Amino acid sequence: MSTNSSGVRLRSVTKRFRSGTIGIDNASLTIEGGEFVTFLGPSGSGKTTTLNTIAGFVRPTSGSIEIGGRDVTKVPPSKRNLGIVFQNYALFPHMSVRDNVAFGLHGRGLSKHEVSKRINDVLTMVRLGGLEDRRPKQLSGGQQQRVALARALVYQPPVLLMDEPLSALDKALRDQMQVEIGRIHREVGTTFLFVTHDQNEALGLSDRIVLFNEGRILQVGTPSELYEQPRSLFAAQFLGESNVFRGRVTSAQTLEFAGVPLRFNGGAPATKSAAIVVRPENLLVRQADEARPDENQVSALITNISYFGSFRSIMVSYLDGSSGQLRESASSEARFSRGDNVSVCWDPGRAVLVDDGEAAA
Amino acid sequence: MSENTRGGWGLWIWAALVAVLLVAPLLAVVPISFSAKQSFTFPPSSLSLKWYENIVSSPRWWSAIGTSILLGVLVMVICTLLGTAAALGIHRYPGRVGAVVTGILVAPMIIPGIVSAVAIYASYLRWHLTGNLQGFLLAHTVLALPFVVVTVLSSLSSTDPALERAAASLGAGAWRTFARVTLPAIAPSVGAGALFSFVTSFDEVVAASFLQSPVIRTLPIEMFVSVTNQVDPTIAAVSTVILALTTMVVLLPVIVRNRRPKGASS
Ligand SMILES: Nc1ncnc2c1ncn2[C@@H]1O[C@H](COP(=O)(O)OP(=O)(O)OP(=O)(O)O)[C@@H](O)[C@H]1O
Ligand SMILES: [Mg+2]
Repeated sequence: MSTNSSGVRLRSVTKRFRSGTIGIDNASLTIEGGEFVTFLGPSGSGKTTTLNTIAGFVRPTSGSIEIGGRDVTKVPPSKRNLGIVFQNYALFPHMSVRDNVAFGLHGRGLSKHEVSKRINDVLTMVRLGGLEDRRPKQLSGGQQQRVALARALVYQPPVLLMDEPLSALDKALRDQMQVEIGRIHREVGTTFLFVTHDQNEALGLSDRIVLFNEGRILQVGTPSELYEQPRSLFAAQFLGESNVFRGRVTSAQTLEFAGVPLRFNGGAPATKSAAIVVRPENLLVRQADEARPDENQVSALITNISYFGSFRSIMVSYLDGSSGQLRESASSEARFSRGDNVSVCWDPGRAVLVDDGEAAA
Repeated sequence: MSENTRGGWGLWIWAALVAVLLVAPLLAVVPISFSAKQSFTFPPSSLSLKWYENIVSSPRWWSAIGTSILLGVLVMVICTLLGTAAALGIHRYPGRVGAVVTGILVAPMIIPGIVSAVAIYASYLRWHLTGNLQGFLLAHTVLALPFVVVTVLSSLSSTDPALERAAASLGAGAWRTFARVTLPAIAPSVGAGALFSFVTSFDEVVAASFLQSPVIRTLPIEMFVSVTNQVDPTIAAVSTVILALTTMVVLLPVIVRNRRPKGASS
């Protein structure tokens, strides 16, 4: 299949529904051609609304949308030339697989021969050859998903939109389709916009993640940027596990957590109240008297230890009553058990400081 | 024998009983229509076709049958087009406007027939719509429209709204979306609505009895008039003809559907 991709640009897009609900609030976003971008966020955070403004099903209250450099804010969905995969696939029930896929090729000035070649190619790509004459009802969920992909890709749209396309599948199939979607993206080279509230899908598939909460775009970045440098407590807690030490910033380098000074790297935040976030794999457990001067150190009580084969997950509770977790390689000797009072330590360079302003979800 | 089977027998007997109660009077009418005597005795002592000859040779009956069929077909066509369009509109604007429009269109189904009929008569008298086909057409359209609106509306609300969005995303305009996606989804209900509207008109007595004149009468009215004038089995013969016709109308779609080869594409 030929490479054909466009960038997408949102400029200050706001959607206020007639009920007064804000679906999306002043969102600006630039997506490059060929990127795989996921919209991630909790339920009701505005992912679908944003996708629908790009698709044209929702007209923004203000702001503008560009696709491939063209302003499409007032262009109807049928003229935007986008591929869309719907959550429940929305396959035409009375048409065969072939007719479903052929639907979008109508009126594009293709010869009969070209049409059937395109259909065959795309069905081969999604690995559905031989099922052309089936009706959607005669296919499994995974196969329907593939038809939906084929139907949306056959006319080589420059952008493909998918709203939680995997949510109707069971876990095993979801993992398999996730790999397939990644492969198809590399094969067609089209820009993919993928909505999900499953962080594993987002981390595994995307070039970049757009994190939504309460109708706002909180952060945009690669999966590792979002994981390693969350810019808000919400981002830190939504993506992956984290240990949160809330406290007061006392100097440009220290935050006081339950009476204990903790050092952090980077400049002081604008607000006095902030939190240090440390990922479980960056924490170490030591005997209470074993601490080193170059590390931050917090006392903790071990509440549980679970064994996961390659690592042990240790649940702890901190001085302020909050709980956290850390990981220890299972190859090291198990020195602690439940109920032990220990020191939890980390290198200040392996933690981030975030505003406490946005309360946890 | 298992209890299950006995339950099955009970159900069969019950069904047979209901069937007999429903169908028996109809089946009595058929033999009477072939009676040789001018009486309703059942079973008839001797047979003839003279009541059928009576219909065939009487211009009154011909004209009534013709009027009813013409009227029914026109009402069906108009109601199917208008009713489907109305249902599509109501479905698209589901707010207060939709509710009000639905209420107005469906009202004739709820208002007692005699009330509608009197109201229709009173206003049509003024508009010179009594005793002519236009009057019948207008009245029956109003009375039959709800059946199309209601059946099409219910099938629209059970079809996946994402289908129309999908069609739009694939580049289809309003017409192609309607013809290739929406219409196939609601076609069975449109068909059922069409059938209902034909039968409603064909069967309608109350408004028709106000609007009729010696010049224009529908079949039910002609039957009514003939029964009050003289009692003979002609009426049974007419009933038999109607029975045969309506059975055919109802069975036709079933037969056509079974004839179509399996898996044929649309
Ligand atoms: N048609 C609508 N009318 C009124 N409010 C709406 C409408 N569609 C969405 N909303 C509201 O806008 C907000 C954002 O909704 P949206 O569907 O974009 O969330 P989402 O991130 O896709 O959530 P989910 O993960 O549950 O699909 C929600 O508060 C929702 O209730
Ligand atoms: Mg959504």
